[in-house]
Amino acid sequence: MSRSANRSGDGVRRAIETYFRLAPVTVPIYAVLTAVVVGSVVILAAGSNPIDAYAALFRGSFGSGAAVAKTMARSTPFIIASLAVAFGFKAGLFNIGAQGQLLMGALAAAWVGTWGWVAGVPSVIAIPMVLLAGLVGGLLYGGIPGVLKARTGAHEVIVTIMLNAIAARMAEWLINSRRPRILLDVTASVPHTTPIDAAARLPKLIPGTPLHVGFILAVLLCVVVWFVLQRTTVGFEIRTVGANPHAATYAGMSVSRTIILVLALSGALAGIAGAAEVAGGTTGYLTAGQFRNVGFDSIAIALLARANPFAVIPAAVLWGALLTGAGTMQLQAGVSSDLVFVVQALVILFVAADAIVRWVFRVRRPRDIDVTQDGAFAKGWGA
Amino acid sequence: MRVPRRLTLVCAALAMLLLLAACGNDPEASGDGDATEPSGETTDTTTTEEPTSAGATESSDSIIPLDQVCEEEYADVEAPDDFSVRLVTDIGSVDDGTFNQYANEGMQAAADCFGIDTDYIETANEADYENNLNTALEDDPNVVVTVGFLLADATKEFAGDNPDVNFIGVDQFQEDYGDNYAGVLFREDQGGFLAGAMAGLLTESGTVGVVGGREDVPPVVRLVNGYEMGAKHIAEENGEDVNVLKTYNESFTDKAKGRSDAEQMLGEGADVIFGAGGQTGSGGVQAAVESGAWGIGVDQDEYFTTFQGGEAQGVDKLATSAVKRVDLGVFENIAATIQDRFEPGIFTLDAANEGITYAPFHDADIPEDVASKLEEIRQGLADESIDTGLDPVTGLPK
Repeated sequence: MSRSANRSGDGVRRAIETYFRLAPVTVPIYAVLTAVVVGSVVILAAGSNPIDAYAALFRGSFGSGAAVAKTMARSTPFIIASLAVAFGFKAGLFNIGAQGQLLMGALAAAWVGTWGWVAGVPSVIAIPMVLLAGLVGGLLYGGIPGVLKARTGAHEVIVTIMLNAIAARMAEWLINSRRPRILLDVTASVPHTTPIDAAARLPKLIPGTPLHVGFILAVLLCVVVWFVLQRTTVGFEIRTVGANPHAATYAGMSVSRTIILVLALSGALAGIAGAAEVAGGTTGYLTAGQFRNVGFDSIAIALLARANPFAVIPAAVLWGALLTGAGTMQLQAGVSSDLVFVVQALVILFVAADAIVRWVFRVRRPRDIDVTQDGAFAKGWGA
Repeated sequence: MRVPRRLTLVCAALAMLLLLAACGNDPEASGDGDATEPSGETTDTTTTEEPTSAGATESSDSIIPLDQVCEEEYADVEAPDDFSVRLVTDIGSVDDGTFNQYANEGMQAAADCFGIDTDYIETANEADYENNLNTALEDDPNVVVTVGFLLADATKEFAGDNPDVNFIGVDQFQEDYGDNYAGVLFREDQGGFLAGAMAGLLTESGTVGVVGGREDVPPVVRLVNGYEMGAKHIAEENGEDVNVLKTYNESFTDKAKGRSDAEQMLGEGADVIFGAGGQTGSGGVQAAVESGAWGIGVDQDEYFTTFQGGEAQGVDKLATSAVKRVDLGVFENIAATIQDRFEPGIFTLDAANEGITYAPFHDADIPEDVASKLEEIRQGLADESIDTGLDPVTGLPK
């Protein structure tokens, strides 16, 4: 949606925004553009040519079939984990705990995938078992802050941050501990878990590339989450609680039940993200540092996608593309791969402080917005 | 509606910034704290060069600069026209003052010496090791250098898939290397021994300390135990007793913990502290020198890294550093590939091949007899007349 679209037929705009819910896209797109422009100032200041740098970045992430496959593979965990965060936003909950839930899911999957009898069953059973393990691991770990918030009012932001630290240390111990040996593959030079059985590995979408079936799963999960939120009673309750918990209570909805449900399901999604990476990765094992920052980046991606279950796909692909192309940019344009973090940070900044973008591009604040669509953004998460 | 909403958005932005800042403080998330780094890119070449060139002008006999190695041993060696080398760092950058920087200096020296094409990729995240190796291989290099133990698995896999490329893995131990993969490993027990000897020579209280990194990382154990053996070696020669205080730490990046460990040891009477655990150890060294005790660095000459080329407080008490010549290991293996005499397997750097040594004393006032005794011990280690008494693999007493 550009400025001209704003001027043209109001009815058309309203129709598009109503049926395709495109209004929220305007600001994120401008935010990305602004970040790229400011990023090029940084590149210039560092003495390189921004056009060369961005061209190399693009070649590295989309320049060939193999590059596209790498980008999509890199985006897969981001899609699912940011979907988890977005799902929380819809109920007005700020789930900072995706990182911990993802680790718990990955650990559960890495554990179940090495059970002796998994080797004996066909993939149609082994793969869902491993993914289910991830789901349960994340569900339980996400349920903790849900119950604490619903029962005691403990703020989910604080609780999930602390649970992240616990999960990170726990993962280090479970993976690295030699005495007692828990998940460690003792034959490995770099500490990692025993690889999961071949039967439980997700098949590759394109052989010879890292792209695996997890990407399809991620897209399907987006559809499922959208359907649940928009087409079911539970989804309506979630959105209503997110928009106004008092009104929800007045309408006879159980706010505490919704909080537990949403945080647990959000955790379950994050857990699937971890499990799918363990089962879909080329190695089939988990190292303690493998998911460094994935959960945190997912918060940013969910913000960029304005918590829309479909918008997380392009937002996560953008993230994956930046990370995938960084090496090529460094080799071909001589710009440090740290630049992609500058761009990512700027994107977050301009999305979060959208007043800047609205002012620069003169984007009107949408009128009569459906408050149940905006969740955490309308309400703020500190409330 | 408008004003409150805008307010909440600004609050949300601030909150996000706080959150991200908080995440940046997480020692695990070392990759994301460097958002301002690219602005340093212009000075990149100068900062990377500085230690080598400064090291060259001030060098004692102990560290032989690579341009000298080049002149003396490879003066007439010429590389094929299209010979190229690509380097993939561990998490960090080529000017971060760790083995990433040191390995890159080795590669740059090879570029200067042989006129070959070199380039590097800095890894920001463990998830990117394979991706970066893939990108590096797209340039069809003759040699790929990977820095750090954590890249061992990925390097081995890629070495298997690319038999025409030689792989040099710094700090990478494998049971089996294949025909195109060399692991550059170090006799840290000798480095620790040198540091311990220095400590034994300098101590007046008879108590010395070492702040170690993770106990499950073998090089750390070799350094720490080597230090104890070195200090005891000097004490025995002088017919004295020495008390060696040792700690290990969970993290390599926790300066504050290193400081508190060192302060504890100083409180127990130690007057020399050896930092043998990355930044954690460096924190210990800084705590020592700032309170007037001696400090000994590790891996690189910490005069140029931790002490910013002499700018930092207490640099006159930095006695020396136990140096691992990562740069030499990288340089020698690139040279071997150029001369078609590359040998796969373990490439050990020790006192005998100048790969393990001690750094110049710089601003520290080291008595002549201490300096000559230390050099005597280094030569003793090199010609094997002195043994560290440790198993070179496990670092445990034989």
